[in-house]
Amino acid sequence: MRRNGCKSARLRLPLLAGGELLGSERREIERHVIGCNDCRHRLESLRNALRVLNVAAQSVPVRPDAPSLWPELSRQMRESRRPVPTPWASRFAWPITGLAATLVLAVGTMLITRPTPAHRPETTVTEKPQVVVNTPQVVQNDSSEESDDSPDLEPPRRDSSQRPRPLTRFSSDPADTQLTH
Amino acid sequence: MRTPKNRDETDDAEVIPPLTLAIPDGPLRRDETGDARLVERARNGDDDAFALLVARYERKLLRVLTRMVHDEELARDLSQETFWKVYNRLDRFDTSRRFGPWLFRVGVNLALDGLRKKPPPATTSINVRSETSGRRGFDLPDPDPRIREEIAQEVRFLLEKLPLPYRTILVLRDLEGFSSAEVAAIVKRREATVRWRLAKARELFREHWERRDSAAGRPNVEETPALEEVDDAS
Repeated sequence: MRRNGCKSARLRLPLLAGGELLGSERREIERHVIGCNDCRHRLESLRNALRVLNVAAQSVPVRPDAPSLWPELSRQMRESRRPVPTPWASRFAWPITGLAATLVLAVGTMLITRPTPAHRPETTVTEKPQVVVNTPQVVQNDSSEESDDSPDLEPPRRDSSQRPRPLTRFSSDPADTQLTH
Repeated sequence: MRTPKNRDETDDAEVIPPLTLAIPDGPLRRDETGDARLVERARNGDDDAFALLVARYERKLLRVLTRMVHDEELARDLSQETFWKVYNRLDRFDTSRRFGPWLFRVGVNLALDGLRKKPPPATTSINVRSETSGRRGFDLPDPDPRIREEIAQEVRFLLEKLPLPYRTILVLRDLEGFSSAEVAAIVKRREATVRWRLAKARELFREHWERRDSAAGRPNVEETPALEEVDDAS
């Protein structure tokens, strides 16, 4: 019984020490403290702790010459009202984007709706007959030893680096011509 | 964006005293009516009205936050942030309620956020000189300023050891003198909850204080009960 009384009283002792306990509750705890040595000591100990706190409360942690917060606050308030200048890029971002989108749309539309020709003539490759000339070619020799009237019957060896000559040669004799593919 | 109101209109409504004249440190209740009017005017763009609110509360807010974070510069930054936050939320403030607790709630929450991110304090005790540890300076009605400062320093150190919810209550109630109702409004808890937390906070502080006394070689008054015992009972 006594133990329970102490337990209940000790919960309220800090409030009794600070003067926050009122009415019947206060009277009940005070009655208990008178009869209980332990709780009386505890109450005294709590009052001492509160005195310590009271002394600490008298020491003001802020310097008396601490400047007011208002100048900085008012500057902050003024700046918040000032319209924020938009940078060049963000100012023109939307018009440029719009213009680009319009261009893309226009080009796309043009490509889609471009009229296709109704009939395009087919291009067929026809192979032309090659005419091979059997007549020996007259190779002109620039050397001075050989004369123009002694033609060399051997065909000259073709240099691969040289441009190919046209295959068609017209001989004077039409019987010598034949069609080859 | 708020549009500044015409100066003539505001001047007709109420004459604003210069900032240097009104910096009350008393209970919050004193200027509640005036606070509501000032908030209304500040909402309409009257900067002078907000300046007066700042002048009314800045020192008290600075004190509370300095006691909580134990760093005057940080407390200053937090106070600045508190007023700025409050200014930007004036439209949401219900003028039928009290401005002071709302302001302090914003400030205390900012401080708690900062403290939760901070690493826990070192466990080594500060050096208390023999002249204070050898006798009970706090028994004196008006102790020597030097002794008072040392006791305050020791209290600051002990407060850092308390869990944040208890430290907050102790700072607001026992160091700054807010009423239980005001503390309840600031921490947004029921008054009964605040009373129990206050009881636990005092018990914890007493325990730490006496442990410090024992370390200094003074006999302890009696065995300190565990906090769990108090928790179980509540």
